[in-house]
Formats: sequence, structure tokens, C-alpha cells
Amino acid sequence: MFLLQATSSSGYSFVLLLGTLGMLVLTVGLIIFIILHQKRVKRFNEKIQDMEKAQQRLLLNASIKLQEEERQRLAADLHDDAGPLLATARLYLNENLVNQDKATQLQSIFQARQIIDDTIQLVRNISHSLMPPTLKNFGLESAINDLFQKISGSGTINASSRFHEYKDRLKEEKELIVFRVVQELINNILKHSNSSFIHLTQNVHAGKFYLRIHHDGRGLVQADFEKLNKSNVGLGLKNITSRLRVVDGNINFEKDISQTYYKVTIELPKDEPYE
Amino acid sequence: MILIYTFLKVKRLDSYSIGIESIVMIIYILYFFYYQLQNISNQSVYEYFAFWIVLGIMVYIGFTFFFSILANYLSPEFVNKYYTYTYLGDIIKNILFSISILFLSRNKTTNYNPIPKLDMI
Repeated sequence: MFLLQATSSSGYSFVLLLGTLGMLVLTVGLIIFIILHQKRVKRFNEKIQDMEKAQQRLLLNASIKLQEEERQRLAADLHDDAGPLLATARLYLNENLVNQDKATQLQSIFQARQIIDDTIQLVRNISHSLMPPTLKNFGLESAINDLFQKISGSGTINASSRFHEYKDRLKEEKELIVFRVVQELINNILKHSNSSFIHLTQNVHAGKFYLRIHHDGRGLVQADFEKLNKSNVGLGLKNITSRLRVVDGNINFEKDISQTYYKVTIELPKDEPYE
Repeated sequence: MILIYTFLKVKRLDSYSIGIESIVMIIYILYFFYYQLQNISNQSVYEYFAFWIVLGIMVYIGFTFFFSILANYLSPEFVNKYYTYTYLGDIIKNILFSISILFLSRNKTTNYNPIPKLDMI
């Protein structure tokens, strides 16, 4: 104001015109900036949504592909193993059996029984591979301990598991998902890592359920996992992601502080105690 | 305001109070736009009726701010001549307010969710 008082009357009118013009330019500029910024943010959001959709599509495809592979495996098992066994048993029990002597009849029946027993065992194995009975009857802890004992029993790798706090079981469907994820991870470690040991630990911290797998072979870090998850390869990893998404879980791949071991940590919210 | 009217002698227009009022309004308007930038939704900013009201006030202040604070230092001829130009700001402001009413009524129509007349069943 004092500055304005020091100028002449014509100076005031110049300041007035310039100021008014400035204010209007400022208004228009502000509006243009807001509209452009909003458009940019919208475009960015749309891009993120598209990426999320693509990722979901990829996960869905992986899940469908895995389901198909599982069906094919099941069909192959039934066709290649159970089919011939039952056909052989049928051969032993043909119509001519009644015309043969008693010793031959008994031998044929014994052979057929043996084959049927083998078939029963085979069907049981197929059924167990679909849904492990230990998991259903005794829970995740027993199923994982059983799995690790079997791996260790093969003698090629030292596998051990320890559950620190698993008094309250997770829900049945959650246990199955965690078990499948652990199976997939163990399968990957056995196939690709060339490690000499696998150790699994379970714990609960701050209302969350944690499972951590250590191994000393070749492994993945989080960046590798995310990269593989976004690519067309790594079907098993995509399946892990989609399974964990169902139970609001997270998975983290990292290297130990000592840079000697690889760690895989599964984290999921702990729900109410299993009834 | 009381202090301004008590201690200052208003010659032609109470420039100080209008100036302060306009600055406060500009601050509010800038805060409004800042808020809009922070909370961008899928709806365009010009679909909010408040946007047009704020824009109308901003345009009006743009036309009158400097005139109001300089009115006491300008010649009477210039004031009479320029005063008519402030009507332009006034007209634009009113048009923008009308647009805001249009958007307000449109939003009300689209979001209109009638309550079922359960007592008539």
C-alpha cells in the first residue's frame, strides 16, 4: 500500500490493470493445472488397474493350467496303472475258471486277489496325493512333520521341521492351502536348489502365523520371485501367490543376514481357534 | 473490522476490510483446490457443483480485488469508468453459479434413490 501511495494516479491504473489481468491469468492457470493434473492421475490409476487385471488374468490362467495338469496326472495314473491291473485281474477271473481243476482255480483267485490289493493300494496312493489323510485327521503340524520325515527318509537331503506354537489349529481349508504352498516350495527346493538341508520353523507373533523355510542351496530373493510371477514361466510360484491371496497371506523370499542361507517366510493372519 | 471502522477513515471504499476479506477468500479457494488435488476420484473435478462456485468467487475476486484496494487512490473519472468493468466479473460469477446449480441438480437426479413405500405394500 505504501509502495502504491508513492506512485502517481496513472501508475495506480496501470497496477490495477496489471493486477486484474494477473489474477485472471492465475485463475485460468490454476484451473488448467487442476484439470490436467486430474487427467494425469486418472490415466495413472487406469494404468495400475489394467496392470492389476493383467496380473489377475495371469494368476487365473496359471491356476486353470495347474488344475488341468493335475487332472491329466490323475487320468494318467488311473489309465496307466489302475486300468491294466484291473484288466489283468479280470483275465484271472474269466469264465473258463469253473472248468479248471481246484488247484488252478485257487491259484487264479489268489493272483486276482493280489492284483486287486495292489489296485486298492494304488487308488489309496492317488487319493492321498489329492488330500493327505494326515492333514485331514491330525492337522498341519503332523502333515508337515510327516512330509519332512519322508523327505529325510530318502537319505538325499536332511529335512527337519519344528512347530513352536501351534496349539490352536488354523481352519481346515487354511491348513490345506498352507500345506499345498509348503509342498510347492519344498518341491521347488528339491528340484532346483541342490541344497543339503531344509529346515522349517513355525511361530506366532503379534497375532500372525509365520512359517519359515531355510535351505542352503540356490534360491530366490523377492525381486526374482516378483519377476517370475509377472512372466509367463513359474507356474508353481503363480499358484503360490494365488493360493496365499485367498487366505490374505504374504510370502517373502530373502537371503539370510549371513548370506549363506535362503529364507522363505509365509505370513498369514491367525484366525479363531480351530473347533 | 471494528478496529478498522473505528480507527480508519474510509474515503470512498473500505479497501482494508475488502482486501483482507479477499485474501482470506483466496486462501480458502487455494485450500479447496489443494484438497481437490489430494482427493482425486474417478469423477471429474468440474462435475462438482462446489468447483463452479469456487471458480465464480475466484473470477469475481480477480476482477474486483485490485480495484477495491486501489479505489481510494484512483481518480473519480477512472473509478466511474472502471466500475462498470467489475460488472463483467459479476456476470461471469453469476453464470458460473448457474452452472453449479445445474451440476447440483444433475448429481441429485443421478443419485436419486427413492425410499420404498413399505407402508403401502
